Amino acid sequence: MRGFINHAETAVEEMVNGYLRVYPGRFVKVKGKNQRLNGFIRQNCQDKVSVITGGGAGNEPWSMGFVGDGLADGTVAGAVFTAPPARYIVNVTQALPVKKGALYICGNHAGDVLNFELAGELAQLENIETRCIKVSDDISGLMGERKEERRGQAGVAFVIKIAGAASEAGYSLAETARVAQKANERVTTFGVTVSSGYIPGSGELVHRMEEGQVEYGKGFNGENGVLVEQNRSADEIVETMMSYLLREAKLTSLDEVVVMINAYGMTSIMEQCIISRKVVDILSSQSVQIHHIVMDRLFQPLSGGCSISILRLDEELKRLYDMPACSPMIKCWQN
Amino acid sequence: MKNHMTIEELKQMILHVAEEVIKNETLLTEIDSVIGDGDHGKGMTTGFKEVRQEVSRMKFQSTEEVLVAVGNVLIDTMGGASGVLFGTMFISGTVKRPASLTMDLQDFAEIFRYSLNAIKKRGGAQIGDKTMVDALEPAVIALEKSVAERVGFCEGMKSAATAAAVGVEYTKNVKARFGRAKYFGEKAVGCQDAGATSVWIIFRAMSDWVGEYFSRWEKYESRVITVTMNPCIDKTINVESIKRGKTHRLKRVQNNISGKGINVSIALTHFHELTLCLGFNYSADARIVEKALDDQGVRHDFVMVEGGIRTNVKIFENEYGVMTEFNENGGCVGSEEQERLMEKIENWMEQTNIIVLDGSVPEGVLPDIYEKIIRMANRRGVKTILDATGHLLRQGVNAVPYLMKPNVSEFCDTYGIDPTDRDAILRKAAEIVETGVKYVCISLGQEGAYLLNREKLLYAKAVPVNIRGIQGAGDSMVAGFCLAINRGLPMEEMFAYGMAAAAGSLQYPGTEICSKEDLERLIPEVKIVQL
Repeated sequence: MRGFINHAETAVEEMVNGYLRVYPGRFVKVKGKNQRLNGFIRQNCQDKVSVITGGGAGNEPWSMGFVGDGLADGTVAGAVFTAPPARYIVNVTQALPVKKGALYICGNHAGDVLNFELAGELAQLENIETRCIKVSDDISGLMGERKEERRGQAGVAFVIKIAGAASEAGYSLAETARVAQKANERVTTFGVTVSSGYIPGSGELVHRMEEGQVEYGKGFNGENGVLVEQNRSADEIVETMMSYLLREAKLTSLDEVVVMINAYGMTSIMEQCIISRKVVDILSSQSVQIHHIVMDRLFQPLSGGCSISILRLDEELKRLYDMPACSPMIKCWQN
Repeated sequence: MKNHMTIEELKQMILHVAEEVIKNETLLTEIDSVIGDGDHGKGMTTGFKEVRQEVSRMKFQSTEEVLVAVGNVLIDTMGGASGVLFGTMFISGTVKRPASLTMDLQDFAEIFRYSLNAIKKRGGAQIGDKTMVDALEPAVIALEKSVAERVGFCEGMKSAATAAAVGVEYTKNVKARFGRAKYFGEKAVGCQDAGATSVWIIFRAMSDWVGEYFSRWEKYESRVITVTMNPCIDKTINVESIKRGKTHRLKRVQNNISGKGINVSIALTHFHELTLCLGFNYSADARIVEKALDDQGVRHDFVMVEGGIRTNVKIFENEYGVMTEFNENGGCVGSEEQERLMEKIENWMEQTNIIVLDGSVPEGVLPDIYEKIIRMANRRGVKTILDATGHLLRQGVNAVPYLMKPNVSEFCDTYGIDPTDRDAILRKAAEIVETGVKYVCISLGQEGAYLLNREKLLYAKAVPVNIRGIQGAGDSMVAGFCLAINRGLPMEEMFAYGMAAAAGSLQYPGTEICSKEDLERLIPEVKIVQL
């Protein structure tokens, strides 16, 4: 797929340059050795716990779109589908106010975890306190696998939302990490893929899907899913997704939830609304108390498909969730 | 048999490893695309392109610094799990080791064992998890086995590469437990792991480089040939002070085989540099010289001359720190023997990098002998170092040696300069450099030394050590120069090697020569200024 490509090697830098030029005065670039782009941070960060996220590019707005008010304070720019080097993470950390420490939020993928953990050790040498939340919301891939071995997906949006609110409310590093971890433990995501996936910025094929093929729980890099079907209607697909999700989420009638219907890059808004209609129908029929619904694009691989996330709230999470937050790319939590 | 690597060699090996990794980008990408996300080849290439750039322009003081630099570049630039884990492979085993100038097989075994443990700890993987550990662990075990069985360096590296290859094959038979490959479950069986493949490529590249370089190196039967025309036995006597006309009770008498070229060879052997002693030996005492050299592992190929070896008596007065010398003249050497020596030198010249012409010549040898040898060497592109005095020095310089290293009094005697007139000395030295002599070094004893070439004039103070005997210091200095030249080091480092080697010898009584450890310890102590 051709798409819009200059050079695959410079795609990430061109993307960040474009974003920052459209919104001047809101972000500050962090450069490392040889003037290489390491990431960017919010302009005029307050003296609070800094929330830092990052990962491989290619699923935007995650992670760069999450730098904003009440969200993350900085993002570390990895190459496409590649975790950023630990040195980049440290450089972004040192560009932020860190007297009160820094909270790292990354997806639970081997590369991200290794680099963020190493960055934490390197930051410690600079007397910077850090904690790391490894988001593991995706129930697909290895069903029933222990929570800490699952990978991170769109649910990372909720974890960043909660952590950003907590840090802005003046929580300490330990407290911010505690609520972020609580959000991670209470969020579950399940996705479906309905067309071939590509690498944005290079147009290369990541995985090929047959026409009409529906694969549940497929990884963005082509990792096998848990179930493959052919030619299903939108409602049938959503029913299958919700049955997996509600089984894993273990909701009780007392639970209040936030639901996110996240469309992938090659799924239209029309389709997204059709999906959302069915999601809300199913939740209502099960008498789930819905606190808020997000119908947005927060984590978009370049393929057809969508993911559904459910965050179980408690009083503390609800209060933090309701605080306003926004970035140029993320408007769903604006007041 | 060469059994260690120098800093420069290690650097060259790493650059070869980088080339090999970069060359294999497509292979790694293809392997990783089957069960991973296909970014391994690009990640490794990104990292090793940076390694190639950084390592080739960096200067290293120790072998450890080379490996740490590689690891840092990988961690800082690659990203992904591979960036951390391959960085760990080069850093973790190296950072806590003391700095050294060379690495042998045991060093490699220890470093990679420590790094392997760090990788397993960091990544949580064990053998059988379809990761780089499956190739690295067998490679480490192979290195350790080679050390225990005392096999050669090349053979040890080769068996490590072979073991890594077997490890890569093994990854085809197991399911993955880490990274994206784990999501492929049973479907991953039959596919090899990309990380393990990279480990194998690295070990194979190291083994190939070492194999080729060492075999080329071995053909250089000697990297430095020294010529000793006038060997002797040094009898060194230590007394508090000489009381004229009195009997002295000798506390300590030391007999050393000496001859300036021999001293250079002994020092070079201490520094693990292959060397060969050529020159004249005396049939009546032939075994004394040969045994002394055999005992020290110094190879020799002398031309035998009738008669006995001369003895030099050296009396060191502890109270004043002064040496008084009584040097015998050597026996006469005929023209036939001289021709045979020239023939030997010519034959060996094919296999050497440097020829050292050091010291006096016996009766019967004309003062143009060094000049002849230097002309012969220049025609073959062999470097020459000339350390002599009088006509030997003056005529030798006419033939344009690579380096000349007289001490200040030899230099001033030769050219009729007032030894206190530094300007005149340096003017003369600059004149000589203009004739084409690459380097002129003039040693000033306790006041240090000058080294100049066409571009610059350097001065170094003598490294402060507890002086217990001054013989052999100048020869050690020449050995230090030889080592640096063979390592391809720049002028400043060559000077530092020479000064450190000289200081290393000063701390021993008699003609005892600087050790490798002394040299390594003293190099950083040398302070060089450009005048």
